[in-house]
Formats: sequence, C-alpha cells, structure tokens
Amino acid sequence: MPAQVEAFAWETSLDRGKQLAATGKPVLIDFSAAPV
Amino acid sequence: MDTVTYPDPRVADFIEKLVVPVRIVIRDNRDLANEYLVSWTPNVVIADERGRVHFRIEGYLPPVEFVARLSLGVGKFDLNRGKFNDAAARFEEVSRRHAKTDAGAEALYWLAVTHFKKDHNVADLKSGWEQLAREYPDSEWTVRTKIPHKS
Repeated sequence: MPAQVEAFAWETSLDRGKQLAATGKPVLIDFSAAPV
Repeated sequence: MDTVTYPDPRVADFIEKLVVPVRIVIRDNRDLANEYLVSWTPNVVIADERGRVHFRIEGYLPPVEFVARLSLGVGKFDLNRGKFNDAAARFEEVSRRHAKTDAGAEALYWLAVTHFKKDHNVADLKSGWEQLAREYPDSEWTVRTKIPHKS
C-alpha cells in the first residue's frame, strides 16, 4: 500500500508545536491510536 | 480520520494555512493523554502556545463537517484571545458556508457573542441571537439563548 500523501506534516512533539504556535497560530493536537 | 478526512484537500489546506498540526500517539504518551482528558478517539484539541484547550472535537467527522468544526475552533481561539475581528470573520464564514447545519447554528451563537464582547452593545447580542432563533428554531444553540430572568 502506498504511503499516504498529505499537504501538511505532523509535528510529533507537543513542545515543538507550542513553540511554532508562538507566531499566533493555534495548535491542532490530534490524539491518535495510530502513529504518523 | 487518516483514511478519508485528513487526506482531503479541503482539510489539508485548512490545516496547512491556519493551525500547527501535532500528532500525539496515545500509547507512547499516556501521561499527556491523561492530562488532556482523552478517553476516546478520534480526539482533536485546539490549543494555544501554552497548551491551554480552546476547543475539542470528539468522534469521527467527514471532511466538510471536520473543517466546519475546526473553523469554529479557530474562531473560539481568536475570541478567547480578544481578537474579535478575526473571530467574527471566522464565525461569519462558518455560518455562511455551513448554513442549515449544527455548525452553522453554533457559528451564529458565537458571532453574536463576539460582537457583544467587542463593543459591549447588548443590542448586537440580542439581534444576533434573534437571527439564530429565526434560522435555527429547533437548535440547542437557540435554547442556549433563552436565559431565564428573575421575576
């Protein structure tokens, strides 16, 4: 099965996501049973 | 969500432009999942740079409905931070694009609240909620506007 293609890349660290959100964007946290 | 919703171009475009996407795998992050009160998946949280929760989406949603809920979440994020013009624009867009849906009703509710919070004009809140009641007479969001008053 081919890898799923998405137009965005998931961050896998919430701390990193919060750092990126310092620009004013909200963080979308997807809690999942499946890895990226 | 990974099969249909996230790969959808409408969802991917929204995420790319408007949020920082973080995937937390629960089995590797039990403490974090507990901290965020995650007892079921799918479970999507809109949070700020301090990790504070502004909005939550639980359960599967197809692409159009998911974008509508995400838009409401970004609107709530802006409203909570006092960015009233941005919040109003977001709620207006949801009310227009998702008219006659639960998200459309919720958008009208929060749009009226946003106008009120911006200018503290009760007439804005009243007229906005009257519009909500006209367009969504059976919605729970209309019920939420019927605040009992002491006699």
